[in-house]
Amino acid sequence: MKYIPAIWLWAARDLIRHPFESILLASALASVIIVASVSLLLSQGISETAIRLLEHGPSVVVRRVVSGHWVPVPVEDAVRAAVSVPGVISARPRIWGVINGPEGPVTIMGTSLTDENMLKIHPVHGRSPVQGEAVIGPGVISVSSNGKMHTEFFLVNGRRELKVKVTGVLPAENSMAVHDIVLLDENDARYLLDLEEGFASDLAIRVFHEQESDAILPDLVDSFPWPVSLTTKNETLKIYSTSTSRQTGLVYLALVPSLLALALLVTAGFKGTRGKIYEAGLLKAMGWTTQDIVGFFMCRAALISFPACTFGMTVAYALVYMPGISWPGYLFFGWQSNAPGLYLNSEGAVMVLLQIASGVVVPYLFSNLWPAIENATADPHQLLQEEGRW
Amino acid sequence: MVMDHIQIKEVSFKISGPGENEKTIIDHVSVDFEAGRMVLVTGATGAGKSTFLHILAGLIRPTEGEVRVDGKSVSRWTSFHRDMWRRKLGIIFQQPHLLTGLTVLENVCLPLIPRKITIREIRKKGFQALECMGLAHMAGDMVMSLSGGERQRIAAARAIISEPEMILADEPTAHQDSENVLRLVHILENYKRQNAIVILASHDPRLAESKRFDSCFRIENGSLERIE
Repeated sequence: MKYIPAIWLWAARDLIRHPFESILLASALASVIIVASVSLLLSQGISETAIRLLEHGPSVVVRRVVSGHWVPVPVEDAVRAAVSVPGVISARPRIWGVINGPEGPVTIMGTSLTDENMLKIHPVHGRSPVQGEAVIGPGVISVSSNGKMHTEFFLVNGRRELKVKVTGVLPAENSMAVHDIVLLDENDARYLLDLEEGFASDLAIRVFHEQESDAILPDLVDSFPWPVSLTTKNETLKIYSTSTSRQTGLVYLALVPSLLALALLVTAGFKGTRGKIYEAGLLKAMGWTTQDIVGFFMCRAALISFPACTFGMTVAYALVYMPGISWPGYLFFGWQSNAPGLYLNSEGAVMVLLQIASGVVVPYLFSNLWPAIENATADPHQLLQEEGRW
Repeated sequence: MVMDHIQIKEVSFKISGPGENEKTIIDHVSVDFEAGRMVLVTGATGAGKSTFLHILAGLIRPTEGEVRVDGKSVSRWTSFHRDMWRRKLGIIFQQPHLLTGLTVLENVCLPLIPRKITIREIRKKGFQALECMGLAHMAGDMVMSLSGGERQRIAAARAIISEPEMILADEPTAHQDSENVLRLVHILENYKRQNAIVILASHDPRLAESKRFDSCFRIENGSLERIE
């Protein structure tokens, strides 16, 4: 067996001498790390995931505006106008709208078997829907307790209604973007949205240099013979991020009590170690050096803080990045039932966790270090006079 | 290196009382203690026996004079050197100073924890020390449950666990019956034979009557007088 320095074992034994105090301290440290990490990771995870989801999205979305309202875009003229602008690679008409679904509003999107771009954005498990069929997002219909869901439902828009049969479900990994989507055959979507042949809801444009999409906006506006409203991918990201920040803002409120808790922990660490002044005196009288005593107190602090930190980081990571978590939907995005499961992108999470953990653990260790040094460098004779002699 | 002798040169210790008053506890004491000797220091309660031992242990610095070990001044050493010096000592305090919440064995093992030896070895030495004191059967007991005499014997076991070169014992026979007094004296004699310096401070007449000491001193009015 590998040799473990006795001082570590002794520090562990000393913690067991005061089990409730040790458990309470470790729980408090872990809780602070969990609260602080979850709030920051959630915000970062949603933002990173939004970037991933929008990666295949259009560079610019063009909507026709008349008297401040959106109106359908004539497909042929719009596409011709858009592709005439230098830098535009392609322009794709999109058919979509928000109507009533079986359990609330849903976003329907018209697609066709040949619509490769659409299928790249919303990869369908199985095949694309044909007339009377629908491929739905994970949040459109609740799954019953026995794991089954209705496979037929009605879509209603005013007096128009359509019964569709579910033939597939969109990938859950993208549920943050597709939870309320219903993919329909193009003609079904036109029917429900009352959209005539040759018209589309808007135009999705791809440009050659995405970073320079802002530069061609004036040319795009000029190319259309009617007033248009343009939204770039960067703007969509900003809107998404602002909305997320607003919605998860509540989580940041939890940081305030976390900081207060951290201050209390630091005080507790300081007082706890300072309170062992008599023991430090005794140890010193028995030949423990200043270095031994400081080492002992730091081992003790490490044995509390490192496992608490590891536990806190693991729980925080699981709460945010466990595939299919739905609690943020209920808590922050206003979902009453059937909240979408989130599959957040964990890129950069480790760094955030390490920063938070060090932000909690380092002050705690320092709060132990200072009184440990004070104890260890004090006069042992005087320390032994402190109360607690037995 | 084994300690040869400890020399106390003109050592005084004063504490400031109320106002300008200063109380002299030890007054210009000079004495040599050689290795392989067992010494008894007697004196009335409050005469300064404990202070004298604490000065020898480097726990307090004398107000005047110095303590020299093999020609080196302990009382002028830095904190680190005094800590290292105490590693060579076994101290039995007047009060046992045991840590609650720990077992008897764990209390006894305390001095060896920072030494570079395995916990298994430490436990083994702890058992041996307890066996010497006739307390091995209590190794797993919590110290809270013990009598005053047993606590003092545990403190004695803790003092000898590191096989010290000098043992300083302050009233080690308090609360002990005669059998245990003799047992303790016998153990300390063994250390003496191994060339350790053994200094006991006690006003227990049983020790003085035991005639097992190489020399006896009395502290009175701050002075140390040889009485035997």
